[in-house]
Amino acid sequence: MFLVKVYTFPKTGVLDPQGSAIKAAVSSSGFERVKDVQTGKYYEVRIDAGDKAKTQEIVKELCQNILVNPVIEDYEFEIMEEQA
Amino acid sequence: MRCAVIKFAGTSGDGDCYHICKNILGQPTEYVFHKKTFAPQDFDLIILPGGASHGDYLRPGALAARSKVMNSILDAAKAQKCILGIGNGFQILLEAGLLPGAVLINKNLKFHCDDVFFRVENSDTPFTGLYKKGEVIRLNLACKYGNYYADSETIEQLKTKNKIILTYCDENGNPIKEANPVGSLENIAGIINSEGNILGLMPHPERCAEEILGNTDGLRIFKSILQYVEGGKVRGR
Repeated sequence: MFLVKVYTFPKTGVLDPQGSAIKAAVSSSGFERVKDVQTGKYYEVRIDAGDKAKTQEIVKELCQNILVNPVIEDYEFEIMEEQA
Repeated sequence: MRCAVIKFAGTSGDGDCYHICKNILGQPTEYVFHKKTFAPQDFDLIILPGGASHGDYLRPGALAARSKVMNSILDAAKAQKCILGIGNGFQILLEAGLLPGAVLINKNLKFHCDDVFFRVENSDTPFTGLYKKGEVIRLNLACKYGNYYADSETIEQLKTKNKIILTYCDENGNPIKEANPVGSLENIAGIINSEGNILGLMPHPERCAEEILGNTDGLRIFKSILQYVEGGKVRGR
């Protein structure tokens, strides 16, 4: 079994109004060194596909078809093997 | 005109849409649940109403766009049936790929509920034939994810091919930034597909379609579709 951690976030150039609002609150709270905040979503997906290469293939398909809206979002993921 | 009003879990505009089609237009109207299917010839108009289908989980419209009834809607779309998506229904059409682009959360992060002015940009469609091009109308807007976005190439195509149907404007019809409560690109509030049979709108014409509600600006959307379907095709004046 593989545990896949999927991160989705706005594409470069797409507005992230939540990130901007959080950044404003962060700045007014005195964190001068924080220069940018970007929001995103995090998913944990467990996939039973035998090997890592097949898991990667399934995750990509899952992201492109459902988890991510490619018009506005990008994604990254990491795959970890889990002991049964 | 046979009308279908699609119901997903969390749809809330279905009763209003049903009422307008059934009681105001006097047309045979049915609810269709998202787990059901239908044939393209069963209906002339298919409405995807507003609300928060499936709790807006994942992204607004994302789960509804992948439900069973969508296969029937895709078939109806191919058969050139009229499909109207309102609010969340518009988001579902975007997520299903029946219309180009996507929506982001409103620029000010707020759920915006108010009557707002819109300019009819194209009256040469089955949905807007009874309006005048450039006419300013007032409709109810109620959304948190109304901030239409598409890449610059798509926006350019929408503009050059006259696929932008409604824009946010002030009461004099000026499409200024201040009149756009959601932050959408080009003040876009409604677009149509290239074949011209699928319209997605952020505002709610069904809430402004009866004298008793104090505003009937939305009624002509439904009446335009009726005239189009009944064959007395009206074109923009």
